[in-house]
Amino acid sequence: MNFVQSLRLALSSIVENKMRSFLTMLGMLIGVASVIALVSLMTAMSDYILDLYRQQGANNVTATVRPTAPNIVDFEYMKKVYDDHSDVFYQMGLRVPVSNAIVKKDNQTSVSTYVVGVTENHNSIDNWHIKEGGRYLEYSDISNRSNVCIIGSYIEKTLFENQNPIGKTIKINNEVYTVVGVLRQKVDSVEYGADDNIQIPYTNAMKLNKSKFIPIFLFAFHNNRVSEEAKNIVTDALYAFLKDEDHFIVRTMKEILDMAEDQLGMLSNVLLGIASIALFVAGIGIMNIMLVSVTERTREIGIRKSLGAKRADIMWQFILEAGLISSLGGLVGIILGAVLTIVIGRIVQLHAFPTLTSIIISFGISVGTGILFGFLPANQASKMNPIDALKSD
Amino acid sequence: MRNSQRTPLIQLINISKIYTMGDLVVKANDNLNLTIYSGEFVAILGKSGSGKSTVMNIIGALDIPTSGQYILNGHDVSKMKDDELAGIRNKMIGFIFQQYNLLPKQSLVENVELPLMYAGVKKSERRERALAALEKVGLLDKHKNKPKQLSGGQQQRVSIARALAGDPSLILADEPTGALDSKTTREVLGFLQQIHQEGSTIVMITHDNSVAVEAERIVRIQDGKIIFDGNTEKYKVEYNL
Ligand SMILES: Nc1ncnc2c1ncn2[C@@H]1O[C@H](COP(=O)(O)OP(=O)(O)OP(=O)(O)O)[C@@H](O)[C@H]1O
Ligand SMILES: [Mg+2]
Repeated sequence: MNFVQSLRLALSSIVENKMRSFLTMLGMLIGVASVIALVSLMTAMSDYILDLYRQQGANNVTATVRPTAPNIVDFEYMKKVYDDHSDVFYQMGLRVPVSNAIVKKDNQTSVSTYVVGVTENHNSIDNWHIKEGGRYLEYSDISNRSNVCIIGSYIEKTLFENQNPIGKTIKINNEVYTVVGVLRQKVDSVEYGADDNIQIPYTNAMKLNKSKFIPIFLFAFHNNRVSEEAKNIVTDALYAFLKDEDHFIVRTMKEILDMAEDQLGMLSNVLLGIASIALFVAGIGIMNIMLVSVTERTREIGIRKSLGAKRADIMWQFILEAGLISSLGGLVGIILGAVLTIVIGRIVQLHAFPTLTSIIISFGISVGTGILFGFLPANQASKMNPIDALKSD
Repeated sequence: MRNSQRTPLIQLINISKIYTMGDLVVKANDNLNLTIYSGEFVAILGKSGSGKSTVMNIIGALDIPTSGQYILNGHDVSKMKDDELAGIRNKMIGFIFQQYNLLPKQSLVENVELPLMYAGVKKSERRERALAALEKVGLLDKHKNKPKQLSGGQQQRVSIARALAGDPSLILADEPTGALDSKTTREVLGFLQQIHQEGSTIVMITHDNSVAVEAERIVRIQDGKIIFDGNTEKYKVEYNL
């Protein structure tokens, strides 16, 4: 008997036992669908998160000074470091978050948002753009400690619905600030997102904090070839000032990106592992049902053997049956997985598409496990003694 | 008296089949010697437990003897391995079973095609030969039906068609009428006689005298031994039938 005949035989026995075939398929179907959905959604999510990081500009060094530092690292000191290495750096900035900032408009609406003190060049370090009709912070705002602010698109949306915010005032911790600029939406304009922020001159932020402490310095360098050098310069400067590396952390954006990539990759692998277990369990399910089916079909096997079926004929019939069932399950699973990916992607607002890798991996595993787990029952069937098999009913 | 120049189709030489279960030793077949020529219609007759099925399994290449030699059509079958036995069954033997043993989910023509499929006959030729065999047993018009849509007698006719389809050297019928009423029993026996007339060699296992006498030669076994071997007329005389 040749392969095509075996295949036809396997196919007809699947069709003859629709219900059983479907139940066997179910495990594989769910396994494959979940692998595809998990892997594809995970990929979409990592892409989204990594994109967020990338928008911060990959050619940045971020120096974080811990509150435990004995001395305040002042702007002038870091400015000198920057000036001494103008071949490496082209921008320098800082962030002074205002602690416990309460923002009010007209003494009514009160929101808690991320109010941060920055320098006048912060928009170009951090990739912010100003909407038409407004302006960004200027050097004079910093030096004069002007009560002006730039608001993020989420703040514009929540505080100023249909009005033009330019020239309007808000209260930050009970001090009146005039809105001079509105930031274009950078990411998603949602609460706690990157667009939920207010930027003010860092000198004002110090005043509000009642402290000259600057926790974050930012250095933008020309290209990623000097990334290590840039990091070393900043590290050395801070070490010279603070004499203890426990008081600060220096990271390049690339490192942060790599770390995030690592962590997301690990998470993907964990998910893939879980999903593979699902496929493995599906394989065991196929084996169980095939084993039952071999027992149920003892008489059929006896008849076939008495009419001249060789071991290999019976073997192939059952292996192909298992392989076909699992690959059919796999195919339907791919479709279901693709649909799930897109639908869930829509719901959580991720741009998710089934990835080719997830399809290849899950389909491969489903066919593979089908054949692998079909082997044991098929082998059992092929070794049956026709006399005993014919006696069964 | 029998035509001794012809080469025998079946030669059982000192065949024994012994089952041991712990201390218990059962000689299901005890030193059987039997020769059957092409074209004969032989009934193997015996009471329950006499060893009929055991000898049928050996003749049908479903099993091998504990000792002795079995030559079928010039092939020594007595020491063959599983797959070789399967090949012998497929090419040389057409089985008719008491319980018909049709595959319930396949159509009649697909059932009849089975031995041809395992012989590697091409699909188109297979179909043609299976339909011809069904025509022979008068069931051509029902070839697309499933076995359970047929009466017992009709199902047994399908299994006869299946046995004939592969054009085997030997038709081996194990209690072919055991599940049938007297009317259909006559009908099925009529069929066997007809194919015998057309040249087939038939060995039929039965416990029933009235069925055995339809054959032209009767071999009676008891306790695994042959106690009578001769033509039917002689049997009738000896056993007062
Ligand atoms: N697989 C086996 N294991 C042990 N003993 C067996 C086996 N098969 C048959 N026997 C024994 O061998 C003897 C002959 O059995 P066999 O089946 O050949 O009888 P039979 O003539 O076909 O009987 P029946 O008419 O009831 O079918 C019996 O005593 C039976 O118990
Ligand atoms: Mg018996």
